[in-house]
Parts: sequence; structure tokens; C-alpha cells
Amino acid sequence: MKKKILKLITGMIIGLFLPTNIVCAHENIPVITTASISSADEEISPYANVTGYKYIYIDGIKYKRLWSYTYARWEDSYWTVA
Amino acid sequence: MRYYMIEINFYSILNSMFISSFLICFVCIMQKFIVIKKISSKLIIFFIVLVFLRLILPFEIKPITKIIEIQKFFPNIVYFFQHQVFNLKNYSINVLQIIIFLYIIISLNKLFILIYNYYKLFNNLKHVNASKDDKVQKIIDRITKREIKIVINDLIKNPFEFGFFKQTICLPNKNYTEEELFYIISHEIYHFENKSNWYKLILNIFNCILWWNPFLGLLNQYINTLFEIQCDEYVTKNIDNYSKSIYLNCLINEMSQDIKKTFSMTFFQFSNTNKISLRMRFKFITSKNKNSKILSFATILFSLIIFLYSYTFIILPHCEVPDEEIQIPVFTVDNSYIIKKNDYFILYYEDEPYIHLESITDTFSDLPVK
Repeated sequence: MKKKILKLITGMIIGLFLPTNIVCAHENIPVITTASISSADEEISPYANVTGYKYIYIDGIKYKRLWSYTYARWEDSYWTVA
Repeated sequence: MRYYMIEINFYSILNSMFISSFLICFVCIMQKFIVIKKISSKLIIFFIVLVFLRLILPFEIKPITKIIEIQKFFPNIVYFFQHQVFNLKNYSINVLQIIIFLYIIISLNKLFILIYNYYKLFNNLKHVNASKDDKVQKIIDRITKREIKIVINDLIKNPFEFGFFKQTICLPNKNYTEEELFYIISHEIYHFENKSNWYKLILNIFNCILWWNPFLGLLNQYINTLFEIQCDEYVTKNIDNYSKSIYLNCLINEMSQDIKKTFSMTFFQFSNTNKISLRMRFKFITSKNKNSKILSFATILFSLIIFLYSYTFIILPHCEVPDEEIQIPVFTVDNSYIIKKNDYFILYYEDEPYIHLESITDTFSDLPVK
């Protein structure tokens, strides 16, 4: 039992320090012809909620909408002209 | 001028539970050093306080707390919790809401059972008359000047004590020698002076709230044993090996008379059938080691560093937007319409607001305006 706990803690410590897929502040996503998607600079809001704008083009007009990467939901109710 | 902001949110609570679990594992390792007397048993109180402080202070501090985003596994869990299960009138219920509902029901149930057990024990002891045994009373007078209610009864299988403000010691109706009685009563008296019952109450309340955490069950077992070890330390501090053997014999004799587990959650029994617990107590009493100040200091320092450092980061999922959310739909008269607000328009797609428009452009001019 004690060995299991020791292994668990060791695993947890290693897991904390191993490189995970840590997201960089800037991310480039390729543009799609029918719907352009790009991530602008991610805004770090004051608390634990990482958000970023997503963009689409409809007939040449750029629209944006705020997405929460932390809570997997839209922060804006709808798309607005960027 | 730098401003600091504190906030409690869903992920800061999750993080606090993760760190508390880590601290609990650390406590479980430290108990080994307590058992072999390398560090003082009093440190257990310090560790318990740290664990529970981390649980009841689950906040993040801006700008100190750094965000660590995880792209693997964590986002899948978030999406699973967000999955909608059914609709209740106009409100959609997801997996997380069902889990929270079940959690509240189970926690409340455990809390009621705990309150009932305490009430039942308190009520039973209140109506039992104190036993007048001169031999027992003389021993109590040797140890303390406090007024203690003694209950000796055939129905009591194992010595135990109970009480937050006034102590009651319950003894089975057996022929103990004077020495055995002295050790048992000393042990039970120290539980009260050590405020063990208060710590047990706090632990029981936390068990009702954090019953789902497997590490807490482990902590429970070790803490109960370590409280017994503290009392064993007090009783066997200045006695010779022969007297220690009598004390150990007492433990073995009483261990056969275990009572229902649920009933014993409210008080400390002198001995029980838990072999791991007994082995730890035997090891402690027979150990000849001395406390190492360096080791004690190192464990306190390490746990404090973990506790404080845990507030400098918060682990969050990084959930990328699903493809279907950013696919541009085909707006037709059948699936879309525009509603005029004060000085702007909202385009609805499948009855959900989709685009905010300052004016109706040519792209949407065919859509009906309501």
C-alpha cells in the first residue's frame, strides 16, 4: 500500500513537471476558403478563463465571436462585425 | 501600483482538491516516520490543518497565479460533462448538473446519518447512570481533577470515551487489574485533553462533503490511528518495558471486542480489530528511536512550500472550438429570420441568435424581418 502511494506521488510529481501540450499565446490556424478561421492574440482575462476571438468571413465581411478555451463555450451570444 | 485580486471558481476548487489529495498522500508517507518515532506525533495536527486549509481556501490570486493549460484528456472530460442528457421544460440538463445533484443528495444523506449517530450516542449516554466504582474513581483522581462520568456496563464491549465539553468514559464490565485500568483510563483521558473528539468531528464533516475522494478515506484511517498513537505516547512515555508489555497486552485483549463500524465513527475506541492500526501502535510503543529535529523541520518546510506554491499555478483545460460551431450555415427563408431591436438587428438561425447586425446587408436582404 505504501509503495503504491509512493509510486502515485512520484507519478504526480513527474506529471507536473513533464512537458504537456502547453498552449502558446499565439496560434496560427490555416485559412479555409469558405470560412476563414484564425485566432487572434489570446486575451488572458483576469481570472481562470482563457478566451480568444474566433473569426469567420461571410461574403467578405469579417465577423468575430469570443470563445472560452477553459469552459468550452461561447462568451459572446452571437457573431458581430469585427 | 500593483493590484491583487482573489477569486474562487470551478477550476480553482478542482485544483484545491487535487493539491489536498497530494498533501494527503504526503501525510500518509509521513505517518511511517511518526510510527518509528523519527518525527513527533504532534505534527499530525499540523498536517491535518494544512490539508483542510487548502480545501477551504480554494482561490486563485491574480496576478500571482499562472495558468497551465492542458490539451489532452482534460478537454474530453469537459465536453463529457457538458453533454446534454435531457430537457426539463425549457431548460437543458447536462451530465455535470446531474452529477452535482447526486453529489448534494449523497452528501446530505451522509451528514444526516452523522448527526443522527452523534445524537443517538449522546442520548444513550445521557440516560445511563454513572457507575460508582471506588477502584476506578481512585485511578481517575490520581490522573486528573476533572469531573468525569464513568459508565460500566455488560453491553459495552470495548473501552471508549466521548464528550466535547464534559467527558464520559465507558468501560466493559470486566475484572481489570489496577495497572490495566490505570493505562486504559489514562489513554481515554488524554483523548479528551488532546481535543481528539473535536478533530474527529471536523474530519467526519469533511468526510460527508468529500466522500468521493479515495485519498480522504486513506487519511481517515491514518489519522484515527495517529490520534491513538498520541495517546499511547502519553501513557507509555515514562514507563519501563515490563509496563509497556502490560499495556500492549491490554490492546490485544480489547481488540477482539470490536463494535459496529458506523457506531464507532463518533468516538475513539481503546482498541479495534484493524490489524494495520494495531501493528502501527505496537511499532510505535516498542520503538526506541528519538525524534529527529532536522527531519521534523524538513517535513514542515516541505509541506509549507507545497501548500504555498500550489497557489502560484492553476491547471485548466484547453478546449478548442468544435468544427460544427464555426461552420457557416446556409441562411434560407426556412431556417433564418431577422429581428429588429432598438437600433440594431439580430439574425436568428434555427431559432438561435446568430449574428449581430448594425444594418441588413445584401447577403441577408432576402430573409424575413420580424
